[in-house]
Amino acid sequence: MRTFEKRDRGVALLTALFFGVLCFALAVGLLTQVPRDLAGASKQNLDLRGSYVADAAIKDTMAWMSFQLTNGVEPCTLSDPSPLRTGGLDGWTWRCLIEPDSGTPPNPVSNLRIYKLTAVASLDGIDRYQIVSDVQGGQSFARFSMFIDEDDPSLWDFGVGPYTRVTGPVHKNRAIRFLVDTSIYSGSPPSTTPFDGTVSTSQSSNIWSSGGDPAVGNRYDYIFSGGASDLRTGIPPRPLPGDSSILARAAFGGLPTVTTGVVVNPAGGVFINGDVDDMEMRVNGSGDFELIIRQGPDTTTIVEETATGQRIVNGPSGTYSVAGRGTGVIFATGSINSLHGQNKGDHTIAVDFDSSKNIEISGNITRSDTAIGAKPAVTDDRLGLVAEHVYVADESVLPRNVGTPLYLYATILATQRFEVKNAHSGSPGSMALFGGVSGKYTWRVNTSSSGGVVIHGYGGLTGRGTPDLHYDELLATDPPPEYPTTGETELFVRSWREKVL
Amino acid sequence: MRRFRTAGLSLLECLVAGTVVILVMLSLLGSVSFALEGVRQLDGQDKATWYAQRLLEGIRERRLASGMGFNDPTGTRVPIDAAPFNTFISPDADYTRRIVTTQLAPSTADYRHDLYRIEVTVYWKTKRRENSFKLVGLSHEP
Repeated sequence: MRTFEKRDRGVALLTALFFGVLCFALAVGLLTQVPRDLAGASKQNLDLRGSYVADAAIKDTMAWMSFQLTNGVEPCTLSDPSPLRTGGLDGWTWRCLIEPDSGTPPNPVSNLRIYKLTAVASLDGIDRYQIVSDVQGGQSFARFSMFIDEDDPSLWDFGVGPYTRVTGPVHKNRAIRFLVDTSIYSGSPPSTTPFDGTVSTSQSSNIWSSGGDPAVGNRYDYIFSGGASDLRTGIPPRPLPGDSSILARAAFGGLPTVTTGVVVNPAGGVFINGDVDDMEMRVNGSGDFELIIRQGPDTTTIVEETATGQRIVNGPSGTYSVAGRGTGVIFATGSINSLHGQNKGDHTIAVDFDSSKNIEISGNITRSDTAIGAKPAVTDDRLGLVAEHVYVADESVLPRNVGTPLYLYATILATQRFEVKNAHSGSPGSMALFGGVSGKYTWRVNTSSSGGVVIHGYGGLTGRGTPDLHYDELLATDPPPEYPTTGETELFVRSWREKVL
Repeated sequence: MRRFRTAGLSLLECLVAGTVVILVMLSLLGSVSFALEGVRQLDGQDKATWYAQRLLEGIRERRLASGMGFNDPTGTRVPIDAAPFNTFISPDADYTRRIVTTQLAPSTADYRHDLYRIEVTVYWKTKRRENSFKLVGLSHEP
């Protein structure tokens, strides 16, 4: 054992002082750190409360805007283009600035109304939290995988069997009519359910074929990927568009005046007077989109030149160029009796559905950014079709082949119906649609046991089929130009950014 | 005397060193105790915030504020996991809650007719006192 000697005097004191200083530093560290953590937590709570106040500001403002629009009053006017709303919640105050985009009233009108809302929550006069959100008035019909307005008592809306596959949101303004192959209920719920998305109706209940109601025995998991929560009732009905004039204006570049033939204006898209015998879309050797319009003896070709940013029109009156790529809206006052080809860029092809004009598809409609048969992964080439009826041509024009599907890359809106002509007679065929279908009635493309059109993904059931419908969710947020909307009073959030101030 | 003078440690030195050590240990114990209390407080606050947010979001997701409204009994505090939130909040005896929902405007002529105020207050106890955290938000339930 070590003994302490004279030279060790002061060691104990020095050691004690050394540890004393060390422990003192530790104690001071603890004493300062804890209040700092508590203050941090308190700030976090303040931020959280601020976020709910700013969120309340957005909700209140959207409710006010929707109320105004429902009553035919514009939230933004020429005298007050950017109104400021204010309010309070739980001792906090908030303000919310409404700014319309360049195509929203009081600016020139487009099909969508988009507003930027900037909400700030303040406490004791100090700005604490900000939310910036883009809200849209009216939802594009492109957001639906399938939309049905009215009942067709002669048809079930969906055949639901082991091979049924419908992706994306579905809505019907009436009760949805499900024809269920009850064999789907045997065993455990499938890993891939017939519906992969929300299915909603404006009614309080739906119509199920005998033994098919999933409420009996709580069998929703067999049909809906999200179970019972994916089947919604009582959702407000959305009316179909009743006016094609917005599309006509966008195609003409203003209020259409009396003209003949094909009109291509700098501020418009392509405006076509009369019926179109054939419309072909294609991509030329330079990689530019070409639209070929045949009307009787006249042929007009419009090339959208990427390099020059202009359109070259070659028609009966000669060749000329038009500045800009245009609005992308192609509108015919008559019917388009044959439509086919490959799309490039953003286009909406529409006819005057107010005057019962139709579009007839006579071949594949594909897109240059996506291989045939693949699901689109980008939004470079968006296409919308709008007509009273959108037909797929009879097999005398478009031969049917079960092994070779008809490919359609488009979102379709028919104010009456999307249907295959003579669907219930002739040879069976198949079809794969990448986009969505909205219409007054459910589509008539299904098969009968004696023939007709066989749809990919359809199995098990005879008499009624379910389409091979691949929902393109990218079109929901980026619809084709001027694609019709569900109504301007229905506001929804497009983007949301939060910031602590 | 000679022995004392030549020894390594003096009595005085030992006494001073011992006093220093005792004082330092006492202050360290005090600060550790303070820190532990602070950590407990932080933990309690964190949990209360989490519960309040989950409850508020749960009411919004399930649209519980509309119709008959959702209100915990007046003047009482119910367990944090009381129905209908027992599906996503586990029992926790240390926490209670009170939820009050109010329709902003009963009249359909008012644009706030479909807006509901949700007030969630979470209570918990620590050694010295009862704490609470209140979170207020709006729900749009047409």
